[in-house]
Amino acid sequence: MDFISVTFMIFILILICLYFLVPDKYKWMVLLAGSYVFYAFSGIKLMIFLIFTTGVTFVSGRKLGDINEESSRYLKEHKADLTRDEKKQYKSQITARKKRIVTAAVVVNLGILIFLKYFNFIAKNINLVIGQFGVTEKVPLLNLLLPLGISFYTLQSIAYIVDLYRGKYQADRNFLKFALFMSFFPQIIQGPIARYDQLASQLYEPHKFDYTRVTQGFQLVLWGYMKKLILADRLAVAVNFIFDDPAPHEGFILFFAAAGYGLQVYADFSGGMDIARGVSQVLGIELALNFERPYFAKSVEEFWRRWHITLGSWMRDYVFYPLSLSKNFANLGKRTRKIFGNYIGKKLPTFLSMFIVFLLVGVWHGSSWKYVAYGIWNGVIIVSSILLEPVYQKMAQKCGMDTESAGWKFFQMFRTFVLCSFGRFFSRGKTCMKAIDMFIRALAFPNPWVFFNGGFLNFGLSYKDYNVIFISILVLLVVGIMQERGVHIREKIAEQHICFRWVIYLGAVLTLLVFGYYGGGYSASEFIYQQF
Amino acid sequence: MTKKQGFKIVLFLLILGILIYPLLGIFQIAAEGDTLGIKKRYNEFYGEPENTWDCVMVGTSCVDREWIAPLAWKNYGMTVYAMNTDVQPLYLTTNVLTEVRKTQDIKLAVVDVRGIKMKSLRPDEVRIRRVTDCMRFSANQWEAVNKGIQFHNAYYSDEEVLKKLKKNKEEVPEPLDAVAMHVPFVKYHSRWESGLRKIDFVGTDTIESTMKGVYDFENTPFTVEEIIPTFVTDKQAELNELQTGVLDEILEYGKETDLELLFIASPTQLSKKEQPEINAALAYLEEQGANVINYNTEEMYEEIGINFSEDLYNRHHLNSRGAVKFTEYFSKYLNDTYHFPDKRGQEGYQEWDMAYENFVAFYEDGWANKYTYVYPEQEGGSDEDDEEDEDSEDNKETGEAQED
Repeated sequence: MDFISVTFMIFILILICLYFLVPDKYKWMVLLAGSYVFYAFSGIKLMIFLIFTTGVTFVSGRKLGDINEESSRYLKEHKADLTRDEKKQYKSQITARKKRIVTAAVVVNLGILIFLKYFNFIAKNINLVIGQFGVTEKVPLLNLLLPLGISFYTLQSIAYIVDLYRGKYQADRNFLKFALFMSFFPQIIQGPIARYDQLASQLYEPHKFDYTRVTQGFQLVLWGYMKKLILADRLAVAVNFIFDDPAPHEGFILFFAAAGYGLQVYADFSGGMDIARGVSQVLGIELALNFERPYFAKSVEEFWRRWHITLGSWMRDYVFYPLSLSKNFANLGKRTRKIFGNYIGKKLPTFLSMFIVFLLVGVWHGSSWKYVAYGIWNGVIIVSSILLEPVYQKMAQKCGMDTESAGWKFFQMFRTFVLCSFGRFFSRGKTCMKAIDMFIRALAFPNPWVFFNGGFLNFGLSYKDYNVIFISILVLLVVGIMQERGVHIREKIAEQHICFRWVIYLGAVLTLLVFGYYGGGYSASEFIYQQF
Repeated sequence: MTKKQGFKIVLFLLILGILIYPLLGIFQIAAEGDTLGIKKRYNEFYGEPENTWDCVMVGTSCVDREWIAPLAWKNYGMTVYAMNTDVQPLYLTTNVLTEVRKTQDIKLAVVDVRGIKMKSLRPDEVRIRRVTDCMRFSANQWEAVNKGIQFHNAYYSDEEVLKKLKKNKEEVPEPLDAVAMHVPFVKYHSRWESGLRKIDFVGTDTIESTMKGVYDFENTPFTVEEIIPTFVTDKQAELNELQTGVLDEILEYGKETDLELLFIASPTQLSKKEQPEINAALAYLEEQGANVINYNTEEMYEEIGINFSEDLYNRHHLNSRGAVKFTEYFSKYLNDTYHFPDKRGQEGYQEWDMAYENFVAFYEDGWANKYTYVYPEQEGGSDEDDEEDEDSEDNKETGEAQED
């Protein structure tokens, strides 16, 4: 079921009514049933993967929970009897048992994701390589369908398993409740990637109707729809036009396409998040924040802390820290310090971890070399910007620049925007080679006159569309600046007189209805992250 | 939720509804600038004084191209109005007739069967919208939309159609979006971009019909394309279930509502592929006991006086000279057969006298100042493979028919 559909809106209204009407003890069941109905709209057959992953995660989680309980009970009971070495030995036995379970569960869950998402990509590349050696037999390509949201719920399941391994919380003992955690409909198709300790209890607890919360939730939903339908889908027209056939274009037009795609993805993805968070808020559930005005970031590293926050924090907790704090990396650090000296040598293992993280982030987006390149680009930019930071500081000092001034901060934001936009060639380009070609031609042929000769009107958008885009970006900017200054927009509006408030709400609804890019005159596109 | 909160929600939704309502009127199929005059035709119909029509003619674009209502009025005092739309879906005929009969107590409906060709039956969204988006919202309009959606599904489930699509390597179109079809705002809200006009804001429900539906688009009625005379055939194709189903429904409607029906095939050039389908439809209808006339025979061309070098503006349509010839002939037939009362000079029909005067001025001025000659493009009539769509002819005329 698509968020941009009348079916979804009817579904939501029915579900919300049901949720607040049924007795408290059944509320979570309404959410579970609703989530599976929602998921079933994308194909009942593919639901089997979700159920299987849920089953595997639940069983292994329960097993881990049992071991955790058993070990803590044993240690408590034998606190006085056991020597330090015995305790250590017992703990290592327990850890080994848990490791086996975690490994099995992660291999199974990740295996499904890798198989469905990357099998054909791997097979094609194997065929290419063995073809070079004259091998005529090929790995067959399979007609595989990717279950909706698999990239999201798989990460969610891994987080749960690893957290139980670490003893962070107790395992869920109710399969149906756990199935709700895994399938909660607003977030299953494009996140945010939830953590069990933050979401599960909210889902299981009943929530009463709260007028303020419900209205604020709907406001967030409206804001999300506006971002998606007024800005993202309109920008998509020009972006798709250029990316579909980039050959006749060069210079700023290509950069415009890449930057435009960045903005499109932001409006699309964050719009989808606002809808998901808004719907959840209506139901009394707070989903994690996934975007924090990324285009206000002053470095690429900060950009990634503000962009797709839940993926970033997942990577930090389950890839970056385990890697960089591992014994192997510690040993590597010792060796690199000897070779490169203290500053770089100390940081190299961290950089390597970061690089691996961004490579994985890139590959997570899709099975194509362009995503590998996208990961490498981000990894290289982040590592080099950290390395070069002291140089920048020195240069700024030498030039007498005030690094706290608004001008310098604006420069940093602009630089980040440009660097991130160039990265978009890889995530949106049709192939890696085409992306590289566009990247080079965007740099090699500066053509500022295209901004003045009406060339931009050839990409399927009219002057009026560009006006709508410009105004939308301006509104996003103003809202962003206010939020950066700590203003809570919805609360601020709620403080105003009812007439003023309603003018804003009604104006927003009518603006969406008239200027939204939907319906037969236009054609709204799918949410971009839904495809991942 | 407190009572006050409930009241606020209801009030908010009420205000929203009040604000949205006028938008539904503004963002609908264009009333002006719609070059095929489709919305205008319906607005003129809604503006007609009640119960003043004797007969209605329905069908595809050929109907208003061939029928000069003021001329029939002048000759016999009959009020026969053309209520066609371009490539009007024949499966929506009963809905068009129901709409007409809400305000006009007609005795006869003339149905042109050109729309029975499988190509014309293709349930294109634009073709359906030309009817449903122009009608006022009502149970009949709702049913017409549903019928369009259902026919779309049925058509694209037909084996013959699927085979043809496969052969042409075409994709099966997506089912029509029911919401967008029932709520035209969903489609037309983007009209703010193409430019709204005053008429969009002030309401477009009714317009006075100055020529009682005479086709008056730019210089088209005064255009002459030399057409190679058609090769007439009396061969009959085999009608499929979709086609007979459509015809049965119209026949059934006539019986159920006690409306006399006359089925005709308008005089234009038809290819050898098109004629057998129409011949078969007429034969089928005749078998069912309906009155039918085929004007696509050598004899009929001669009797009417159709000259293929002068009387058509393209191979599918008569120009106004051809229309005068056909109207003279057909109105005589109607008068002789159905004996509509002569209402000339009666109170309430002055508009028809004015319409005739307007038509004469329009006709004379047109042939004096808008005459256009078009060199023949192809020998369409004799070509076995010629399956050019009427819609594409319309698009050549307007350049935006599909968009509207």
